[in-house]
Amino acid sequence: MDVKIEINTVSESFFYINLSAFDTQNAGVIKKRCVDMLSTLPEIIDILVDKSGVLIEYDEYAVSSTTTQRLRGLLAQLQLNFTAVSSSEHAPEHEQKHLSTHHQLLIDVGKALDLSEVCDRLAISPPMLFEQLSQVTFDVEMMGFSPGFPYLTGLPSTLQLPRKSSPRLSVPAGSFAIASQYTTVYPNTSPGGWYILGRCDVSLFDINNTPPNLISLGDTVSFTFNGLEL
Amino acid sequence: MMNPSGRVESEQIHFIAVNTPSYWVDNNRRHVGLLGVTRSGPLDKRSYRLNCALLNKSNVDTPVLETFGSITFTTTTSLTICVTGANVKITINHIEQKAGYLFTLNPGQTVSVGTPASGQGARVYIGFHAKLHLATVLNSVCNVSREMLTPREQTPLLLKKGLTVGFSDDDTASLNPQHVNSCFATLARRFDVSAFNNTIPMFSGYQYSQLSVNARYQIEQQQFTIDHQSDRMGYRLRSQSPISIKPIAQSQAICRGVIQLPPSGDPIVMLNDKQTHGGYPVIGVVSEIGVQRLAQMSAGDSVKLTIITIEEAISQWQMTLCLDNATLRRVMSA
Repeated sequence: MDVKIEINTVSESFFYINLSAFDTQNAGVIKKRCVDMLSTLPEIIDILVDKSGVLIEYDEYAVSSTTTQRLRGLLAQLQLNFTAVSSSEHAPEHEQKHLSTHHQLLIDVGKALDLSEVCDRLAISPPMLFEQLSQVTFDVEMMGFSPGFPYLTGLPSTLQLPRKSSPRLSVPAGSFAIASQYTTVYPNTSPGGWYILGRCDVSLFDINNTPPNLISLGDTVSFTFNGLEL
Repeated sequence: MMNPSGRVESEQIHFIAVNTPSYWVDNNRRHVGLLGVTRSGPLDKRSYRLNCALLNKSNVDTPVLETFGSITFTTTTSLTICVTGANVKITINHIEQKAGYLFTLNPGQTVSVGTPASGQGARVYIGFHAKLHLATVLNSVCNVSREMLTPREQTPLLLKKGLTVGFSDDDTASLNPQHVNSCFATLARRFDVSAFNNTIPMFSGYQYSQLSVNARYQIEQQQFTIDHQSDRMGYRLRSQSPISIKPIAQSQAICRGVIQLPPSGDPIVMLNDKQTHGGYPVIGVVSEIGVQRLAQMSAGDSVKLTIITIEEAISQWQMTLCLDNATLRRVMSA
């Protein structure tokens, strides 16, 4: 498969690498490679990842005449890499292991503030809901919204609901939540419009740790649930 | 007074009055997006950079105070400060100073930085010719209260009345305040924020193509008023005719300057302390020159958006930086 990388200039100091044309099965690996390679350019000062690609910020004061050349070289390498990854059915196993960490998190469903609403809307019993959630291995598609906030994909379509029409002003830290096609654990107390289905005691983000985030782009996460009174 | 490393400070700046929201800023929060952390940094990049250049310091990791003015402080030893950005009155021991950028304080003297008059800008940048002993988070003095990133040392990052900041001499950067101030007119012609007009250039992008013809007309034809709910995270622009657009299903990574359109129909220009991703449709991006103009405007000011191409925006910004560099080289090498 020969898919070209699409690069869009977003503003005076941002450009966007659109990767949506690539195989979604290897999207995490491709994004991680892209991030790792672009991080080697000293002019690049920040990188954000979303569902479709990678947003790059560069230092407009540090850009020199050689920057464009080096960027072109990197992008050519990326193109080769991506075509190789994309054309294989799966990313090489050693690379998957190297790139990602699996996290198993315990969720206390006694603090599922929206359990009855979710079960009513999905027409599912609580034990069935958590049984289905416990069988999923979620992928970290992107980090954002607030420090350490992971957007996890893999939620079955039968369990997807749009965000709440009226967001909570304060969602407790550690809340396990779903909305749309995403699942997350809120690292800190913040406003939020997702459905809360439990609480995790593990801290996902502590600025005093190195690195501060427990979960990173490309990692996988699965959940076990306790506290459900049958 | 002990600094975060436990060293006793002999030299201190004591803030007697801080009457407006005031933040330490630098350009050193880098590679934080993958943590979900905002880049933050100075809103008015050129005024920050001018400040660092006049103090002969790096424009990456030098802490500078970004404030709306009305600040009074004193120092225990001789200290030169640099004031850029909005035009404000500077008094030292109640004596008004001549227009300039660099001011040297003697031990025990009190300096007051006033608030800008209407049309004279909004944000003032105060730099110090010293190594300030400030706590950092992610290698930066920037503090975004929403993020609750508190360093272990618990040193307050937010500037408040009564705060004392320790410092040591900065012997690496030599200064010539008389020369810099003698070039005030030359520098002011290039960097004076009161010369800004209220036209904010933007270019289309993201979900702009989903706007109706009528909505595109509304963006360019109406005056917007900067709402009171405006801060370093974003400026909300109140309109007479709210603009509508279909919601988006996915959160997307957003850059500084994006114009989000929430259900209220009043656009929000996202600035340095924005979240990394946004769930509202984006109709375009305010150019760097536009962001700088907004940074020097306050709630109640009216603005007009004008659409330019991204190529024009890049060209204008590069030309601006080029002329800034040329002016600074001429002044600093003379």
